[in-house]
Amino acid sequence: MNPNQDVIDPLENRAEGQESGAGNPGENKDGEPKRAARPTRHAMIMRGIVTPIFGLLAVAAVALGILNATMWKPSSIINASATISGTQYVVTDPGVLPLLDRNATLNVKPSSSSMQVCVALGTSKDVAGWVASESSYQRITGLASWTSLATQQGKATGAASEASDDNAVAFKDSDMWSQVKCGKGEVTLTSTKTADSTVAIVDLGKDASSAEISMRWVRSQVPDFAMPFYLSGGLLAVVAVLCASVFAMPPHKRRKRMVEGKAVIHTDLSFAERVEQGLVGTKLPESVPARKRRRHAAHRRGAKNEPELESEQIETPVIVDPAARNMVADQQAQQSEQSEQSAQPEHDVFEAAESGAETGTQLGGADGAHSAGHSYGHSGRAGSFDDQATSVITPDELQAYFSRLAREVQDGQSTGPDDADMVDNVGTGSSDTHVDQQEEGK
Amino acid sequence: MSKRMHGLMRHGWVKLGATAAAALALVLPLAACEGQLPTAEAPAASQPSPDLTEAQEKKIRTKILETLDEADAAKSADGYKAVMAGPQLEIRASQVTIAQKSGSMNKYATIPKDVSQVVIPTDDGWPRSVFTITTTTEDQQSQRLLVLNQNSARENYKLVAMARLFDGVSMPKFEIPTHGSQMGTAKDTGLVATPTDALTQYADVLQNGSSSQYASTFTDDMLRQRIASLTSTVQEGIARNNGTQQQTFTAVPDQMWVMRTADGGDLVVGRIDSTWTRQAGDGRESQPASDDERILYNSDHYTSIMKVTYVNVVALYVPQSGDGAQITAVGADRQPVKVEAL
Repeated sequence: MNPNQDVIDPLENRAEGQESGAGNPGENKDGEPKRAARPTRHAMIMRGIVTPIFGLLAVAAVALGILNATMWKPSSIINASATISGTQYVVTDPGVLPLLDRNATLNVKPSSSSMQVCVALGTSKDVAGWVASESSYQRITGLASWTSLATQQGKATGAASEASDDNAVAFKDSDMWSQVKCGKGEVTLTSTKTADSTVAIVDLGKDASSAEISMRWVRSQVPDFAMPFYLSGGLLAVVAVLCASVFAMPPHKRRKRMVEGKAVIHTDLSFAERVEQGLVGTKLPESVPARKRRRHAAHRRGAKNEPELESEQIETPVIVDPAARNMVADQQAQQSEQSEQSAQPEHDVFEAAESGAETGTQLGGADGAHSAGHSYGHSGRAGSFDDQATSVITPDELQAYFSRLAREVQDGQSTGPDDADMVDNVGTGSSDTHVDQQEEGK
Repeated sequence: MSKRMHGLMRHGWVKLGATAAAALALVLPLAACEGQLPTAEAPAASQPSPDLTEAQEKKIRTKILETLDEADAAKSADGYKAVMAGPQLEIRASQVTIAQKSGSMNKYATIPKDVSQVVIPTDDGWPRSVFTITTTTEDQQSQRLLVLNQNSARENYKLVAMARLFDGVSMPKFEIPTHGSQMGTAKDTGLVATPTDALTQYADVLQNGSSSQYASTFTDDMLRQRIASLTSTVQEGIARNNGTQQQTFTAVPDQMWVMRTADGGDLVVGRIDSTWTRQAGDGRESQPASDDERILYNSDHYTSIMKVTYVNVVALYVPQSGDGAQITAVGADRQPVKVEAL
């Protein structure tokens, strides 16, 4: 039923969506206004039919679990019996005595109370040796059901010849039995800590009349049937809740959410990639998918309204620059720049942090590459410059910086985000040559 | 649209009912049962298990020795048959016959109740033999090696042989009782000699002494020395009156019990019958050579020839064949069982 519903619902929904799309071409693809008005048929079916079904099944499973834990609990005492006639010896197969528990009680009840019967325990090979000279005997092979023992005709091996009467001992006098009990009428023998190879042998006497043999175990471990029901009940309840909530949503709505989630991940990824680029240097294969995604995002964003685009524009440099910044490398770069053109001091640091889509990114890329390639080689020299470089910012320089900042902010707003990306890539791609030039300049 | 939905829902309810019924039909048989029927599985025989536990061996041995004690006290051989067989039955019957006259059992007949080692076989078939080494006796006689043998499944263990270990002899090692040892056979190979051959050759050594062709196969031992010295002592007396004496030793491989030792050798306990015929010369009478013989003869009528039948039990350690490996007799018992005047 549920699969059917699932199959039907999306179809219904899609048809409905098409209808609505045809009816109101101007309306949003998501159909959000409609859903807000009243629940879709899909949601109604999921909440009105599927959820109650699962709820009922959950209740039923829990109820069955409770029944299995109480009324229907498997009994720990197992009593199985079989009536055997026409044979003198009855032998249990190896493994039958410890079938349900290491302690087993064997009870033999002959048809007439005057009959002498014996029950003994011995190893399987001893018992097999004892009955080897018999023409036939009965085997108890296990449980036919929970109340009856399975029996089978034992075949005589005929390996041992009958012992001479002088030397032969009576059944109860044999040295081989670890336990033996004889009596007229009913005989009960309890085997404790039964070894795997221990078997029981019953001597019903030469007359070979019938007797009822029963075995009784007290199970120390009773199978637990309640727990699976509880577990499935819990699962069904969870499914019912999901049917009432998540699965009741229109599928495309759920899909949209997932897409949005991906978009968030995209920005994270591009951030990580950019950091990596900054550290490792120019790694074109890595940067290609990042650019692709960004372009796609930009394209999608382009179709939308303005404010989003603006927020993206501001975001981009904020994400990139602080992490990729290597202060030591910056100082070196600025030193070299200072030596080349004294009008451009280390203000770029702040500039990049504030906005500066074009220049900031360019320098950021260059600095990243620079730091990766050369920071170790020049660290000693950079340390000596460090104090001077950071402390010597005169009020005049600060003034000049702010004025330039204001100008560039205006310029930056006029350029699109695609341009910023392009510049970014170019800056990253050419950073090596840029650095080389700086080195030569030194 | 609402009609469609109604139809769909009605359809759904029918399906729901069918599903619920199917689910119940699946679930209900599961309820109220005892679980899956277990099947008996024969234990995997990874290692052959010993035929007896040490406790069982002790129970069997104690029962035998107590029966022996009762029969000894009653000075009657009737009780022996239930718990003894083989050479030991004949030896013990002879000893109790002597005890009837002498008043007490031979001190060599004592069997201590405590054990120092038990060797239990793992063999599935019959006969099965348990080798038991007792402690020394209260009067510091040497340890006894007992062989308890179960001839068939319908019989009980019986004491078939008892050998008094020689002083200072080093016994071979056996597997511990919880592992069990493998019984050897009369035809075990890879040894200095097969058990049957070892017994036969030892009989020849006892008969011929150092002139036996097998003398070098066996290390010197107490039994050989004592028989040789006894023979030479008797020879002195017989030689004075121009008499002769002759001893013949015959191995009885049918009454032989073999157990494998831990080092791959065999410990063989077997019976060797011997007759000692003494003929007095110069018309003299041939007299018994010992008190035991005198009591067994139980007559004052002597002739010139006296034939004494002995039952000997010997325990031989037959090592694996190798450079200079020799068979060692580790214990023996010897008892005259019949004295005749021919």
